[in-house]
Amino acid sequence: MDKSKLLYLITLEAMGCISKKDSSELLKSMQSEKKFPWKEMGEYQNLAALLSMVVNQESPAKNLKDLILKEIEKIEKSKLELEIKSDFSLEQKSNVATSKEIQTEINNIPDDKLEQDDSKKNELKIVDHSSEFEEVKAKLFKIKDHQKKTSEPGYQLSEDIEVIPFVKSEKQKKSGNKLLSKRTAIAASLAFMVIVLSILYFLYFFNDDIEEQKKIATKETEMLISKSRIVPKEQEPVLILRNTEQLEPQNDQPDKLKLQEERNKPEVQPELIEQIKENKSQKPDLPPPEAPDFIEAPLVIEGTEDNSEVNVDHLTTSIPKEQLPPKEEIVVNKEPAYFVAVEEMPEPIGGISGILKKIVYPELAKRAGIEGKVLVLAYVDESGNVTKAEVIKGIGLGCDEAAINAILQTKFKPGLQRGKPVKVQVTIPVTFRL
Amino acid sequence: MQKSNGADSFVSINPLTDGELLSNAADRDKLAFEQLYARYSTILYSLIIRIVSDKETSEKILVEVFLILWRRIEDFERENLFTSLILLARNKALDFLKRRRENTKQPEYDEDYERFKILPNLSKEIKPVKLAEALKVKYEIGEMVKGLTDAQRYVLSLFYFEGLNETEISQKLKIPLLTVRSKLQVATDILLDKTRMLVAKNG
Repeated sequence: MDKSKLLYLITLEAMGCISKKDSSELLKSMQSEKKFPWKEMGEYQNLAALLSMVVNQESPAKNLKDLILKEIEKIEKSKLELEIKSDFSLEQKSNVATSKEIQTEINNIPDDKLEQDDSKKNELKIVDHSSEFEEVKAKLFKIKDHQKKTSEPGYQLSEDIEVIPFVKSEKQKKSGNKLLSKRTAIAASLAFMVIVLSILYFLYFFNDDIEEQKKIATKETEMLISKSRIVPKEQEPVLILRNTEQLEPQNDQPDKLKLQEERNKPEVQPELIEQIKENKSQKPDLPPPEAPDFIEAPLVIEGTEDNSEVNVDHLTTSIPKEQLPPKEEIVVNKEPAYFVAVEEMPEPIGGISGILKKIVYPELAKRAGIEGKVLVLAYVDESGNVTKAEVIKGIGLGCDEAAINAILQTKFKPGLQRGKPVKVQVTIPVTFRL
Repeated sequence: MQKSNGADSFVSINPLTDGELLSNAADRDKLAFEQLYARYSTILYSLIIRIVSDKETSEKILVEVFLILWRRIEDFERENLFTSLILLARNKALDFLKRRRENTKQPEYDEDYERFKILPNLSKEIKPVKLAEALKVKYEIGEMVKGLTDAQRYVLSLFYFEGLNETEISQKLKIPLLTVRSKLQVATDILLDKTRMLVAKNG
């Protein structure tokens, strides 16, 4: 760039108003030009500063100094808060993201899943005559489920559970609770029996092993080995039982019927054990490969080593995990899906400017000179009310909350799809400008 | 005149230079910051109110300017706080003016924007100017500006106080772009020559 052009750009920059294009051009040559007229630039800038002396001198209000000092104290204080806030907003964003994913998942589920559910419903009808039984069991299950939920330790598990529900669909939600509770109740009773059995097995094997080992090596070490060998053997049937019940209801139904018969005469334990033995002998034929995928598996294995009571607890508690999904789905049911795009999108009554009028510029942001745009995702229902609003992109310092409050107060013209008002989610940009 | 005399006497009483005060303020010394405020608040406020011509807004902008100084104190030129602060206040006021004037897409005011568009990008080789010196030559500068032709002065003030760019000025005055350019260039060159002479005279 020739020097006179460069000098002119420098003049423009120093005197106040340089267009974007010229500004970037100047910046570029500042970085690249070897003989950039730094000296002249300094002179122009000093001139520009000196020119300010010609204005009439006027003192600001005296309280301004105190105000500034107060602000500075606040800045110092809010520096820490800001750090925390930025972490928080990141979390918020990720939450928004997951909820979006979930939304799309809900939308994607329907067709084939629904068909499956229909078939399951039919199956249900077959089992229907035993339903009085199951209701009692269902109650039992609910209690267990509750216990399990309260005993659950960390966030991670509950997060897992939140994701699971969307694998199943609405129709199953209706039937799922009953069906699954039936299954778990059965499974629980079955499991209990199996455990009794397994203890018997265990003792049996245990003794055998000791006899053999006496010949070969010292007692203690071999006992340990035998334990470790035996445990998985005993475990397999239990896992298969549950998995097949949960994954392939059709296979289970004969078993269920048998179990229900068993239930009719529950006091006669020896018979039950025999029947379960039969069941067991059938079960290993069923395909078990899914077993390791289930969350319960490790829990059960931990528990089964020697204590039968502990076993029962683990089994009953581990089963409800499978049950939980329907519960969560019901929650989703209460929050129906919102359209992302409809033929006629909802519009705020009074326009965006109407929202802007409702906004109270947060004092903190005002003082810190925060300006910018907050993107809010608003869920508008059929009557035009905003049921929920969340921040997609925020600028913090109270602006996000102010934007949400303003939007929650705003009445919308509902979105129309084929002329009918529907639930729609809309993204609304709220600009904060001092 | 009285006020500027007051500022003068304050500067002469306080032995610390701007740079020293700035260093102290950078170490979170609020007293040093208060002294900087005492030195610069009047001149900055006068400039801001000349640009936005609204008392309340000017006070807001002045507060913001000092908050920027506090937040970004590391970015300020130790040797030439005078020019830095004045150009910062001018840029901030003009930015406000532009945002008020044009409702259409203005760039978002974020960290980067403040860093590159509001904070003055001072030259690497800039001669330090002290506030006390500037106050001394105040009258001469007034005379210099008066020496310009009306047209030159008007165009210059449109740049400097109204924040219009050359295209906008040519549209507003209905004169060709080249005329605007030449007016600005001639005016600044005259002023530059005169300030050089002034500096030479005052040492």
